[in-house]
Amino acid sequence: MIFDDIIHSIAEGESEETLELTKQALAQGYSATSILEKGLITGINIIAEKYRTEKVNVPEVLMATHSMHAGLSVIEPLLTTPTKKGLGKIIMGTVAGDLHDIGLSIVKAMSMSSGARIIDLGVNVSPKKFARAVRKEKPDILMISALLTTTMSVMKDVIVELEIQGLRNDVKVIVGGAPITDAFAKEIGADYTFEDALQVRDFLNENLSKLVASKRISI
Amino acid sequence: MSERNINTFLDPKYLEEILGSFSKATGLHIEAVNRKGETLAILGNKRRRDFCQFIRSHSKGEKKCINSYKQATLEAVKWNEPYFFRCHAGLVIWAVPIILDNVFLGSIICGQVLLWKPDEFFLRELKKSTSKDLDFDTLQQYIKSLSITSPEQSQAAADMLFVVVSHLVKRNIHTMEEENAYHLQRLQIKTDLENRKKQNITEFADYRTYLKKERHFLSYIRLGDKTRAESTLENLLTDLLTKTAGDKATIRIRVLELAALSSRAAVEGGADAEQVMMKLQDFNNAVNSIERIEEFFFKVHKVIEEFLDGIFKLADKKHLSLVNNARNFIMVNYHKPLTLKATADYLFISPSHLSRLFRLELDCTFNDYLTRVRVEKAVELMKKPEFSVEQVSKAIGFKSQSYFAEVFRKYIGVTPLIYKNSLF
Repeated sequence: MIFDDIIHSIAEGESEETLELTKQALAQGYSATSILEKGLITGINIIAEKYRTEKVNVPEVLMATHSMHAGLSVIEPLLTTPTKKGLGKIIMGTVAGDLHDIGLSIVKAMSMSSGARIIDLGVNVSPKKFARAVRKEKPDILMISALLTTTMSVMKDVIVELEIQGLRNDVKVIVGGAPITDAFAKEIGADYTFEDALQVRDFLNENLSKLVASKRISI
Repeated sequence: MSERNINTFLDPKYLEEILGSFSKATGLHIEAVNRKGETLAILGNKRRRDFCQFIRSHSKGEKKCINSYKQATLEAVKWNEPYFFRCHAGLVIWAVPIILDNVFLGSIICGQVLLWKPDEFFLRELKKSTSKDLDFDTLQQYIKSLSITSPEQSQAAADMLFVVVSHLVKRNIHTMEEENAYHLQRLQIKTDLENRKKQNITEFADYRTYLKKERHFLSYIRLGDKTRAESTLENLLTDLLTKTAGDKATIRIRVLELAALSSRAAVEGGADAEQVMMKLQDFNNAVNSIERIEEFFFKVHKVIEEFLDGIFKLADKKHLSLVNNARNFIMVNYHKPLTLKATADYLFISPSHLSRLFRLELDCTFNDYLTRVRVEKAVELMKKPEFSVEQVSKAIGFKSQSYFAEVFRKYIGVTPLIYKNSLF
């Protein structure tokens, strides 16, 4: 099964193999989303789980991430359904002080398949920068990521900044990351948080058009 | 003292001697950089790889290199451990922080290697990140100058370098141990949060729940129930982090309160008041200079553990399990007409031996302890409006209500009825 091979190549950090296998899977007729879901995400999840439960060297994680990105680079162009206007706009980024981009890349890839326009601010994004982007781009959704217990409080700063600048009501805020719970999301005044990237995709598929439509009416 | 810099503190000769050898032995490239990411010295082999030299030959490229180093140095200092990262050109590098007497001077940068064969994806990423002024074909040639190391080798080199640098700045073992403990504390909180998410626990969102948990916690302290106290404390701290959304000022206040309340509870449970208050004072002083959340949590954990240890000096490990078993037996059966003899029978020891153990290990009699458990439970039950004082008295195993009132008053200071009326 080609997905097993992809998973294996990511766990082993063999980026060249991941690249080739992803291409092969496409050639065999598998859809980009299924490769993403059953291959790349499953592969990186194995490393993440291993990292949590036993000792894994950081360099090994770097290798696995590199492999996953290699695979992503193949399917990303296919995930972007030619963005029609009016399918919504999403801004995303990881908060200041946090340099993690694995979750961000996965959510980005997943969100792409919804047809929305994605603006990726990358990692280490300050609250001011988030707010500036929201002011300029007027997105429907802002996705904020934090992977560390030490940086999760910055998410609140982002929301406060949006409030100060009077931008909060114009955008739905989704927060995510390993340590982010429902209670935390509620506490800092975010609109949603999801367990994983698949849930984000389901949410977008179901609600993105409604969100965009309701916004148009309110304007 | 702000004029301190890495050069005056770390003698370049000494650095070269130690780290130069490290570089030669491992074949890895080492640079000492300051806080801004600017290179102060290249140690050992004295030359950067052709790949890096070529990128740095352009001012734009050099700026990016310095920026990468700066960011890595800051991260390494933040975690106080080797920090692995990929530089702007995709090479794998690790930074080991140099911190001297709490002053952050810079870092030792090591690596500039690849963990994988330069594949198509790597090249594409590289092309994207390099400026157009740079001749990409030439750069591609220089990739050959890079070495590929295994992850194990990189990790081992980073660990070893950390030890060497720690030795250079003569960092004491104690701080390293504390760092390690903070690291564990961080992991603990994170695991706790992730588990809650997985189990979909009906989550805490208000202070009412928090304070209720806090009351339980304090009652565990008064009873010297270390296991329950510690697991509740862990829970409380995670709640606190969620409730405050990581706001340090609030966390500081809550943690100080928690320590103060615990100290009182410990004294009520039988700890030496002088000692407890001294420990609390030390704790308060220490917390003033703390900035990181995991430090707060670690310190409060530690001081409460000390309080708990002070309650029962369970010195003789031999008897520990017997006393614990007796205690657990009381916890489960306090509402029955429990006697010293029944408990001793349950443990297959003589009543006089059990009595001696209680006096020796818990510094109180069997009946004292039983009464304390009952009063704690009574306080808990009183908070439920549906129970009358009489029902509470029966539920915790008192035959006579007047005797219950007398005991309750002795421990709490007021009669059960007054206590109950004050609640509603």
